[in-house]
Parts: sequence; C-alpha cells; structure tokens
Amino acid sequence: VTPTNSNGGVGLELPGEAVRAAARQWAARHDGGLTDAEQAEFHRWLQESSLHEVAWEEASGIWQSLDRLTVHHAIVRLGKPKPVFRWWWPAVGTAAAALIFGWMVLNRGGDGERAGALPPVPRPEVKALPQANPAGVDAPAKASARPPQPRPASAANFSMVEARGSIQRLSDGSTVYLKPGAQFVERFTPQFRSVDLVVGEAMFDVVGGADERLFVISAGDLKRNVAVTIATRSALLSVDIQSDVVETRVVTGQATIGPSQMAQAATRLGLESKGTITEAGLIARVQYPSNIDSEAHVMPLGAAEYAEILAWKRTLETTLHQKVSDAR
Amino acid sequence: VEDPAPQSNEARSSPRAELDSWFRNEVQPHETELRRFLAGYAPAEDIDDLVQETYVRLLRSRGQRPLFHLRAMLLAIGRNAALDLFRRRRTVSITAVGEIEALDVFDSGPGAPEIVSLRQENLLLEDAIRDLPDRCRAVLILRRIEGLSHREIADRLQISVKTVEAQITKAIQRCTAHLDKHGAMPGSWTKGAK
Repeated sequence: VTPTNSNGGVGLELPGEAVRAAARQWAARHDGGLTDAEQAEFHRWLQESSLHEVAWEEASGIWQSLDRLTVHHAIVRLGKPKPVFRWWWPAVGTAAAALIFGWMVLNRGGDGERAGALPPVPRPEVKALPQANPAGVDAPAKASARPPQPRPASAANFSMVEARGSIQRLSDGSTVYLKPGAQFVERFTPQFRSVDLVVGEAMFDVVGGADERLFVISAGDLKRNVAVTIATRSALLSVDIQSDVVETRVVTGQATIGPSQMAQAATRLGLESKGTITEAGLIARVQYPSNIDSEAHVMPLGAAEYAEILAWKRTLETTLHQKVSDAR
Repeated sequence: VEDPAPQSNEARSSPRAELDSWFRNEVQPHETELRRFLAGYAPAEDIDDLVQETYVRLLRSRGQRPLFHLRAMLLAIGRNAALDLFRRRRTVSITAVGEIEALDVFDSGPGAPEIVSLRQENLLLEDAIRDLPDRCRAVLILRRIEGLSHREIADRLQISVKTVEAQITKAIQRCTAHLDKHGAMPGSWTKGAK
C-alpha cells in the first residue's frame, strides 16, 4: 500500500519505504560511479515503475542538497571530531621513504653525466610523488634493504653547503621546496588546493592570481586530527614539523594558521577566527600534536632566519633549475 | 498507468529543434495538471516560478539520464521545488536580524535574504549531519568536502567500498528523516499529503 499525494485533485502516487530504501542505495552506488552494465540495470529499475523514479528523485535530491554544505558550514559546527582515522601512516610513510631512497640510489648513475657542470655539492633531487614513481616501484627489494633517510632535527643544523632537497611543481603553478626527508602529498580538490605535509620541512611558494581556491597545507598527522593547518591564497612560507611544535615562517603574503581539523574547516570557511592570521615577517608556532585548544604563538621572524630561508630557496632553485626543466 | 517515455541517446543529444518538440509534445501537455498539483503546496503567486523551476530541473535530469515516467517525474520534481521553497520561507522567518550582520564573510554572491535562507536551510542539514554516527559522518565529509572517491575513502578509513556505499545510503536516509521530523518536508513522503 503506497500513500498518495493528492493536491488540487491531482494525484501523485508516493513510494513506500522499501522502494525509497532501494532508491537511496542507487543514489549511493550512482555517486561512486556505475559501470555500463550497472547503468543499464539502474535504468531498467527506473523504468520499472514511476514509484522508482519518484523515489530516485527524492534520494538523489537530498544527496545533492548535501553538496551545498560543502563550503558553508559543514565541519565548523560538527563539534569536536572524534578520532575515527587509524594509524597506518607511519608504515606507508616509511615504505614511501624507502621507495624514494631506492629510486634516488638508482638514479644517481644517470645524474653523473651532468654533474660536472654543477658545483661539487651533493646533488638535490627532483622527485615525483611517491605513487607516481616507476623506478622506485621497480626496485622494492633494493629499497627495503636501506634505512629511511634521516631528517635534520631543526633548521639550525641545516647547512647550505650540504644542500639537498627537491622541488615539486604543483598543477596550479605553485612550488614546493622540500628539505631532505620531507614528504608531502598533493590532493587538490575542485574547492581547495590541499596538500599534506606528512613529515619534515618544506617551503611553499603559493601563487594566487587566477586560481581562487584557498591553498590549504595540513601539516602533521591528519588521520588523528592532530594536524596544524595553514591556509593562504598567496604567500611564500616555510612549514617545519618538529617533535613538539609546527613552525610556520611567513616570508611574503599572509596565512591563517591553527590547529587540527576544526581550525582547518574554520580557516577554509573564514567563518571563525580559530586560526591566527600571520603576516609576512612573522613566525607562528603551534604546539604539536595539536588539539582543539592549541593556539598559534606568533613572533617576529629573525633577520638571520629570514635570510636563511631565502638563501635556501635560491640555492635549490639554482641547483635544480636544470632538473626542473627536465622534469617538466 | 502511464506509458514509459524513454528517449533514445540520439534524442537526448538532439539539437534545439528536437528539444523543443520533445518539450511541446511530451512535457507541456502535463502543465495544467502540474499547476493544479502545485496549487496544493504553494500560494498562487509562486506557481509560475515553481513551474519554471520544475522545467529547469527536469531538463537538468534529462541531460543526465533517460526519463521514463514523465508525468510522475514532473509532479515529483515540482513537489520537491515547492518543498525547497517552503523550507527557505520557513527558515527565513525564524532568522534573527543579528545573524544577517554576521554574514559579512560572504562578501560576494547572492543577496542577504537568499544567503540567510540558504544558511538556515543548511543549519537543518548540519544538525542532521552532526547526529550521524562517526563513521557515517566521516564518509560524508570525505566525500562531500574533501572530494575523495569511494575508493580513496575506503583506503583512508580502512573499510570496503561496499561499506562506503552503505554509509552514504545511511547518510541520505538519516538526513531525509531529519528534514521530515523537523517539518521541513510538509506533507512528507511518509505521512502523505499535508
């Protein structure tokens, strides 16, 4: 027995709960993408009864209306997020580091040809994202035998003479300069230029202009919601994940910095000042791992630090110019 | 019982003239009925707008899939459009003036009244989302806000793709029930006509 909606003498037969449940299932499957065969099955189901089609209209409509939430309020008002994510990153991170290391070892031979034209410093590498790294994938056995690369404990023991690192160009034209051992993942979405800095230190040269999407750097362990978030439209800044603090040095431009996913949402939306606005010439320190109450402590960036950052960037650019051209 | 009226792929990708003829021959004959039906949901001055909105939504659907039961679809879409309107009206009326002042973050886009109603409407859905079980909410956020694929969500949460689907199904169900419960769907699907 199905209810009927009768208005003005016009009747619309309404689907019962079983049909509506089936429609919801189709909406979920449809959202994940249907194969041709599934698509045909879906259309047969719609054709079977007007009740099916009406129920589909309702279910897909609700699902689409949830879309409108995306930029507006969604996470900000959700309350404190519970740790629903699991702890599998270290294993993946270590494996990725091992793969990259293996790839670098393999690639060293090829670099020799051009090495003579460059200063006799250890060569930085331009690396692809770990998952897009065929050489590394080809040599898992070799790579797994090597220990992961050590990362410098802080900027203080970083020496330009021993400059090693890599440059990564992002699809929006921004550039990431990675110090040795730093790992990051680009995961741009239609709404945000999101990147995760998983470990280490990196400098981000974020270009604004045509791309109006907010550039959102999540530094730290996203899976446990303890990340520090740095959001900007255009800036040059360096982000360093240390053992107890995440430091963000803003060289040019401005960024909003705060803890955890809550701040991430807030800064993205610009609705609440959970994040701290930080401008050029300032350094923001957020306790790490961060929690919901962590605040950014902002202080002036020392002239020496400022100079060091720019010098490091320049060195990488000079050293890597050739390789970046090759990689593109 | 109505005749199924599926269009072939050829028809759906047809030029303007064919679209016009489809509209004239298959859609417009139902307009009188649609208007009478909508009159049960909305005041007379809104009917023209709702009919337009219904056609827009119908055309959008037609671009995405074949439409089989045109009459039922027209009424169902019209009904949804009327419910959306109702939801906005209702929520605008409970909006405090102070909230409008807090809207300066939206410095562009639609005008304030439109924003307020969207905002209030969203508050309802937000409540629904907040009440979701953790895993269900995590899936929803990863899908809708982070834009991850089902596969990526499955990998990140260490669950199967089937489970991702099941959680989305649940999210749709809960949100529908929530809107239902809070009177945002007058004459709701489960309760029949208002």
